[in-house]
Amino acid sequence: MDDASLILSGIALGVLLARGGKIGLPALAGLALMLYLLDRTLIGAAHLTISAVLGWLPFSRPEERREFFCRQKPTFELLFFSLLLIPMLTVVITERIPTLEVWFTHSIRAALAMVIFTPLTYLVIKRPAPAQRKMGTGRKILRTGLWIGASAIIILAAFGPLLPEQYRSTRLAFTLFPILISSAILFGPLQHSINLIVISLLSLVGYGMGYGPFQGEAPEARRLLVELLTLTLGWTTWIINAQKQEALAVEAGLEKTVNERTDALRGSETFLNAVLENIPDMIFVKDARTLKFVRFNRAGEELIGRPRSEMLGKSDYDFFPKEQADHFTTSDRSVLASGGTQEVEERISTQAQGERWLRTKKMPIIGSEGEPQFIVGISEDITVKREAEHHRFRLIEEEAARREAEKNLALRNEFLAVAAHELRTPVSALKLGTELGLKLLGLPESEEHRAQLRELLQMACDESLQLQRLTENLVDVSRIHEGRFQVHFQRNTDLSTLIEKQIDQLRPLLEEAHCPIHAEITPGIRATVDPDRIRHLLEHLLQNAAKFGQGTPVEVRLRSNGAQWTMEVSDQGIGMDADTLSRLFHPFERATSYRNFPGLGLGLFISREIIAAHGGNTCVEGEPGHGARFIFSAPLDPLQVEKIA
Amino acid sequence: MAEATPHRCRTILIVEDDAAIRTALQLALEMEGYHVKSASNGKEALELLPRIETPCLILLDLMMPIMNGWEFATALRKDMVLAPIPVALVTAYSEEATQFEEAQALIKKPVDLDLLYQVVRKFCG
Repeated sequence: MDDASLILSGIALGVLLARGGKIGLPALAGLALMLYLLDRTLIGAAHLTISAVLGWLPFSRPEERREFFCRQKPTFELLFFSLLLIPMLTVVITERIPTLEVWFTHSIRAALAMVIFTPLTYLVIKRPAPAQRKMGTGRKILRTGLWIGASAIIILAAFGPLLPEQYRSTRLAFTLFPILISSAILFGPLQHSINLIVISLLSLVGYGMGYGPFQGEAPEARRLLVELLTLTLGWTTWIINAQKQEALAVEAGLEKTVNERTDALRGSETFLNAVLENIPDMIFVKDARTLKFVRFNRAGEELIGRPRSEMLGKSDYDFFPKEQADHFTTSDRSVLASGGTQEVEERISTQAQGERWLRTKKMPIIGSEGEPQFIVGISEDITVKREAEHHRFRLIEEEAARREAEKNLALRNEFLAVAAHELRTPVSALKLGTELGLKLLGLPESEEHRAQLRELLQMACDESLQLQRLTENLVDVSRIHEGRFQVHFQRNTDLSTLIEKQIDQLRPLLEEAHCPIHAEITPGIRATVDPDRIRHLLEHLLQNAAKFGQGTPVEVRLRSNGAQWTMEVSDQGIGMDADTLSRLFHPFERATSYRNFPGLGLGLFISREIIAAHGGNTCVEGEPGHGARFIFSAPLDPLQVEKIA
Repeated sequence: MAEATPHRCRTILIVEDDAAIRTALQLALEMEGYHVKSASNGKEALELLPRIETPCLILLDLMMPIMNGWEFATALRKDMVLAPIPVALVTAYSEEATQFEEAQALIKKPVDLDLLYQVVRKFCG
């Protein structure tokens, strides 16, 4: 086999290897061995191996190249290139086993280049991928200058001092390669690879045929030229691949991050789902526009009594009576319009559990454009709570009613006891009086006995009257309660005279209680009144004054303003506090202890009713220890007022 | 029961707010020959007592204005001179009166004349 066919078949094999599968360096070594066995020359095997590597490099898969180059330690790379690749190239070019001196020279040369290139290589690898780079014009110029300078240093360092004088003209040719390297980094791996392949092929062909920059030079210089060119080719491709690998790694990292994020998202969704599914309240989500269900949890399924597959994509109208669905829809629209959270209590007809009461919190979910996208509802089933609350309220009401009834019962019982006592007193007097009368009748008749008998009969008469009054009061109270309390108006009654006469009538009562009475009666007041009732009224008041006045003066005033008459009765006795004032007109309620102030305790209650029946008002003033003042006023003609009304 | 008062003392004090009962009781007792004094409430009775002959019995009503029977009896027992005078309650309020330890006798209203004389004789002879 001649050299050219070996090189070409080597490149073809390299391409085949690169595209044919993951074989890598061991496969190449095996191939080299096979070819050596075929050719039986070390030179031929080396030739073929180098060609195959050169063919493999640009066409191999990125992973394979990464396997081959990027995973190696810098020391290994140094050894590989300087101690193995370069000397092998020498073997190929010189077609002889290199002497130790040649081997050493070339190794040193490659190692020098390597040492200078390595930092630059890593600088390039660490750079971001071309598409992501943003660079100003100034920086671009700077970088290009850097590359040119670096290349010049390499050339000078590698070849300047070592080359004999006559070879130095070839250095011009090398200036092409730094430019190629720069363009490769600027325009990306594919273009660069193509450029390199083209230039490499041209160089090899030129070397073989003695054309171009390779013409006219000494064979040794030409060899060196090709040697360096090949070195640069491999080196630059390595850089480019390394850069691509870096980009791939970044990509893989990105993908990994995306995967991790996706996993995390999936995890958090699982978590959220678990939470939503296990919350005992119904949670639903509706589309803001159509108000159709887009999400439903387990509690919701159980409450409504339908699986979510049946609910999703449907609206309230598919499950609830129209009236309820209308209500829900109105409420949803209101939440969406307000943009805030709303809480409502609503009744719902469910398939599984019948009528339920829900307390639902609804809130809109606002999309990135500020428009509501969904409406979320969280519904608590408050049926049981509500029933319990109603039950509790009912119990409280019943309890209050029971207490009120008990209080009324107690008041009534007390009143009955008081009434019995009050009735028993005149009955007692009557019984005692009549018994005594009978006893007197049995005694011999005398003037003294006659007088005593008369006194007893008078007393019996008074006590009968007292009994009559008591029973009338009781009857009045009963009538008031039944709404049958009546007055018999007499027009044009001389009220002034009526009051004056009644005061005279009651004077002994007050005198007995040592209460001096002062009356200021405007004469000639005429009004439409029930004279009997007005007499009762004054009687009640003066009895009270005698009882509570405790011997202080009692005043009665009567006056008129032309439209209504006003009567005031005041004493300076024990008076009353605010609490007593409020209870004063209640029937059966006593303002004072019965022990000290006997009596039915109905006087004020009946008095107020009398004035009310006259279309008037009752007013009371008093302070503890400062007496009391009762003011009654009524229209002069209640019948006229009634007519106007 | 307090020791009975000597026979020669024949005055009885009636403390009663109801004029009719007061009159009837007075008449009933006077017919039996007792000397009767009366007051219409406790306060009046306390004021009256030092000015009259110490009575052999006080007939006491419970429900009275100004000073009721309970208050009167309590005040009476605190007075060294008046404390020994026996008290007979004359009341319509029998339930409460039976638990009233200051009294030596109880006459329920309506008053039974025989019972009245029986009680009076027991204390005044």
